[in-house]
Amino acid sequence: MLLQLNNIFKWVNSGGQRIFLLKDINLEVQEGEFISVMGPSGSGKSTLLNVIGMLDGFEEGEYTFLDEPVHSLKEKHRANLYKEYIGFVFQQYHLLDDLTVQENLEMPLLYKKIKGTERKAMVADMLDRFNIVGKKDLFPAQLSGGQQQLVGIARALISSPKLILADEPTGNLNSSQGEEIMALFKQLNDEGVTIIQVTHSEKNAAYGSRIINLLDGRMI
Amino acid sequence: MIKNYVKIAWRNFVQHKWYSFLNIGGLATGMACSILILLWVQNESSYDSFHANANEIFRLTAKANEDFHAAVSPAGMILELPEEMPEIESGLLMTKPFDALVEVNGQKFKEGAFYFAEENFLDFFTFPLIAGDSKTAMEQPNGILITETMAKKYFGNDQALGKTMKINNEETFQVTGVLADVPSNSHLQFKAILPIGHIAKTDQDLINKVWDSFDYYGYFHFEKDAVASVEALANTEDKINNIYAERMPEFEIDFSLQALTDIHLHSSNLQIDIPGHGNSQYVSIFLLVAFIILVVACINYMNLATARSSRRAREVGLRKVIGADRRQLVFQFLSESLIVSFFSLILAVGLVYVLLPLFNDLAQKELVFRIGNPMVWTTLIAIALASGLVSGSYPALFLSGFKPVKVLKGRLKLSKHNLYFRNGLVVSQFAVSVLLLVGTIVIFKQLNFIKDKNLGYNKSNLIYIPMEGEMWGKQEALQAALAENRFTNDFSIVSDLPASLVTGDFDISWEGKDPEQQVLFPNIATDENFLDVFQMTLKNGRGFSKNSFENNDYLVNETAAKLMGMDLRNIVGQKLSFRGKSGTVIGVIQDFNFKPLQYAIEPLIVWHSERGAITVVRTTPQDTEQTIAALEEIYSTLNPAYPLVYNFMDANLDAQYRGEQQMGAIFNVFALLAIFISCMGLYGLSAFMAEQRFKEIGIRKVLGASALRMVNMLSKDFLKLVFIAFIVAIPLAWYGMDRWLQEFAFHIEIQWWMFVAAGMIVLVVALSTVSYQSLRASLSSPIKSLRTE
Repeated sequence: MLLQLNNIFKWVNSGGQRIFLLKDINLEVQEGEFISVMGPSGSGKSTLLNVIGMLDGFEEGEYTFLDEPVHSLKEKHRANLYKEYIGFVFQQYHLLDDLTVQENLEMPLLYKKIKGTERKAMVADMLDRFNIVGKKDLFPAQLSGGQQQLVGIARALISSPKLILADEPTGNLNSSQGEEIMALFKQLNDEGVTIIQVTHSEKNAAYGSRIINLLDGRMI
Repeated sequence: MIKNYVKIAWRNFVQHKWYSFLNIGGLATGMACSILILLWVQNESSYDSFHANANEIFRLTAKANEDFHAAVSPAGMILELPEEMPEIESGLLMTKPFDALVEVNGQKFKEGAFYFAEENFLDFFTFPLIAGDSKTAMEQPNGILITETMAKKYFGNDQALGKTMKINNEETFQVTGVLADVPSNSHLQFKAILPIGHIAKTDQDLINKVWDSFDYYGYFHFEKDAVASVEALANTEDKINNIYAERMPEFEIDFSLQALTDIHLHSSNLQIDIPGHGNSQYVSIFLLVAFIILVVACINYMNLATARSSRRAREVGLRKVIGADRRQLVFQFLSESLIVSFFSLILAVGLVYVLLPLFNDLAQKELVFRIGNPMVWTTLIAIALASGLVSGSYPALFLSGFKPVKVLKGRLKLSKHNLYFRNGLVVSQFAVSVLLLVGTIVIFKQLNFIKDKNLGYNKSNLIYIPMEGEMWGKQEALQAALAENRFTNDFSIVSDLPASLVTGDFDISWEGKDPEQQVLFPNIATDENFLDVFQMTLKNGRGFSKNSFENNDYLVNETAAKLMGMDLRNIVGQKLSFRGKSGTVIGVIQDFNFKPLQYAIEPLIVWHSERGAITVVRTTPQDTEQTIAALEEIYSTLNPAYPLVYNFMDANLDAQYRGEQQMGAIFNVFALLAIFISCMGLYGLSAFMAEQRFKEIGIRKVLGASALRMVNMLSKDFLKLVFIAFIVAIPLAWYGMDRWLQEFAFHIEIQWWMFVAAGMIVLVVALSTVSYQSLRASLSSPIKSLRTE
C-alpha cells in the first residue's frame, strides 16, 4: 500500500462559520494505481491533491504514506518525504521562466545535492526519453503548451518518484496535445509509477484504473 | 549551485533592465558617496599619526576660565618643565607661525607659515630630511630648514643645501636641511623651520624664561607609563598644575595635556591656536551622513525587491515544490543581493575615481583613493557585504516564507504586514530627506547670517596692510603721507584687527575689583582714528585724542563696563590700571565682535598708542583702485624693499568661516544625492504599485473614473507617507540642528518655515516622481488590464 487517508477533515473559518473543504475522506491507494479525481468546480479536488502531496495540511484525520504517519511528522521530515517520492505536474506547467529546458530539469537534482556528472547524465537521459534534446537550450516561453507540459512531466519524473500528482495536466492544452500527454501518463503507469490526476474530462478519466468523485468536499 | 544563482541573477538582471538600473544605480551612487565621505573622515582622523611617537606626544594647553582656553603656554615653563618632571623624555618649544619676506638672487616672495623651533625639532617629530644632516641641521643659529617645494621654488633643480636666503631684508640664513613636504594630515603646516637659537638672545620671554606670559606652543614627549591610561594622564596633569601653582601662586591657570593626534579635530574650543584645524563634530556629522546615504540606498533595494515579490512568489512556490528548502531559498536571495551589491561596488569605485577631483575641490583636500591599500579594499568589501546582506535580508526572509499552495494558485495577495514594512521603509527614506533638507536650510541661513551679521562696525571697504621692514621705524612719515592723500586719509593704525583677536591680559584692576577675581581682558592698541575708521558707535564719553597715550586714557566696551559692575554713565571717568599703568576710562564703545561668532563678546580694553602693527584704510567701492594705487606709491617710497601686501577686512572675516562653509557645501551635495537616491527608489516603487493595481485601474476606468481621479487615487497613498515622514523628521532635525547652532554664540533661531519649506520640497519631488507612473497607468487602455486574467 502506497498511502492511506483516514477520516480526513479540512476546513477554514470564515465569518464565524466553519466551511468544510474536505469532509471525512477515506482513501487507500495501492502502488501502480492510476486514479482520476473528478467533480465540479469547488468540490475539493485540488485541495485533496495538495493534501496528498503534503503541500497543504488538514485539521483532522490520519494520513499514512509508505507506513509513515504524515499527520504527526515534522515539517522538515514531511518535506523530505515528498521531495523523495512525489512529483507534481500542474495545469499551468509552472516552469521557471528564467531557466532553459535543461536547467529546469536540473533544478530538483540541484536541490537534492546530486553530483554534477551524475546530474548531467540524468538530465540527458530524460531529454532523450521525452525526445526534447533539440529543445534543451530553449526557454519555456519559446515552447508550445504541449511541449511545456512535456518538460513539466519530465521534471516531475527526473527524481524518479513513486507517485505523480497531476492537477488538470491537460487543462490548458488542445485536444491532440492532451491526448499525447494522457498517453504518456498511461505509459508511465504501465512502467509502475502511481498516478493521481484531477480532471474535468470523462475521456481523460477513462485512462485511469479508478475514478473518485467529489462533491462539496465529500467522496461520493 | 552558486553558478546557478549567478546565472539566474544575471538573467533576471538583463530581463528587467530598468529595475536593475534603479537598483544598481541607486546602490552604486550611495556607495560612491559613502566611500568619498569615508575617505574624508579617514583623512581627518589620521592627523599627526605619522609621527613615530604620536601616542606619547602631548601639547600643553592653558585654561584661564571657562571661556578662555588657549593652546599656548609660557616659554619658561616649556623649557624648564622637563627638568622638574623625570617622566618627560623631551620637550619642544615652538613659536607662533609668522610671515616672512624671502629673497634669493634678487627674487622676492612673501611667505607664510615660518616657525622658530628648538634644536631637537627633527628628533621630536617625524619630518624626514631629504638633504642635510639631522644631527647638525638645527645647530647653526642662522640655519634654516625649508621644505622640498620651497627648495624647488627658490633654487630650482640646484642643490639647495648650503645656499643662502635673505629674510625680511635683514638677515641671511643658510639652508642646513631640506625637509620632505609636510604631509597634508599634519596639524603643523610649515614652509620653513628656523632654530630658536636665532632669537634666544633677543626675545625677553626666552631670556628670562618667564612663566607668566603665554606666547609659545609647548609639546612634550612622555614616558609611556605617564600617559598610558586616563588616570595616569590625569596624574601627570595634576603634577604639572602643582608645579605651576608653586611657581606662580598669584595665577590660577588650569593646564591640560592635549594628545598630538587630537589636535586637529579637538581644538575648536582653543584660542590662540595654529589655524586650519578641523572639527570633530563635522567628522561625526559626516560619518552619520555616509551611513544614512548607504541605508537609504539599501532601503531602495529592499523596497524594490519586496514590491516585486508578487512576481517572484511563483518562482519561490515552484522551487519549494520541486524540493528547495527554505534555507536554500534564503541563500539564493542573499546571493542575488550580494551579486547586485558587488556589482554596484565596482561601479561605485569607478564613480569615486571620476568624482574624487571634484570632491577634493569641494572639500579643499588632497585625498587619494588607493584601491590596493588593504584597509581600503577591506572597507570596500565590508561595505558591499553589509549592504548586500542588509538589503537582501528582508526580501530573502520574506520571499522564502511563501506557502507554495497559496502562490501557485494565481496571484499572491500581499499581507498587510508586508505593506506596513515597505511603507515604513519609504517613510524612513523621506524622513531622512526632510532631515537633510532642514539641515541644508539651517546651515545656509546660518552661514548667511554670519556673512551679513552686523559686527558692531562696518567691515566693508576696509583695506589693511601689516607693518613690515623699515616701515616699523617710519610710522610718523607713513601717517603724514596717508593723511595727505585724499584716497587714504581715512586711516587708522592699530595693533590688531578686531577679528580673531588673540590678545588677553590679567593685569588689570579698578576700584572695587574683587582681588580674587581673575578676568582675562582682550585688548587692542589703536590711534585716535580707530572709532571713525571702523565706524563704531560710542555709547558714552569720547574717543581718543592726539595725546591720550600720555594720560593713559582707556576705552572699554559695554561688556567690560558690565563686568566691572558699572553702567554706561558712571564708568566714564572711572580710574583703571592696565599693565601697571593707571589712567581713566574716557568712553564706552558699543559691543562689537572681535572674535569669530562662535565666541560670545568678551570684555575689551582699547588703549591709545602712537604706533601699531597694521594700517587700516577706509575706502569706497568706486575709489578702491585709486586707493590701492596710492598705497602702492606711499609704501614703495617709504619701504622699497617690500612689495605692498594688502588685504580686505571682509575677506579676512569670511576666511574665518571657511571650515563652516566647506562643511555646508559638502552637506548640500550629499543631501541632494540622498534625496535623488530616495527618488529613484520611489520611482521604481510607484511603478510596481501601479502595476499591481493594474486590474483595479482597469475596472475603475470601465466604471467611468477619470484619469485625474486615478492619479489622485494612486498618489494619495504616497502623500500620506511623505506627511508621516515629515512629522517624524521634525524633532530629529530640530534637535540635530540646534546642537550645531549651539557651537555659535551668535546664531539664528530655527523657525517653523524651515521645516515647511523642506517638507514642501520633498512633497513636490515625491509627487512629481509618483505622478508620472500614476498618469501612465491611468491613461492605459482598460481592455489590456482586464484581458490578462
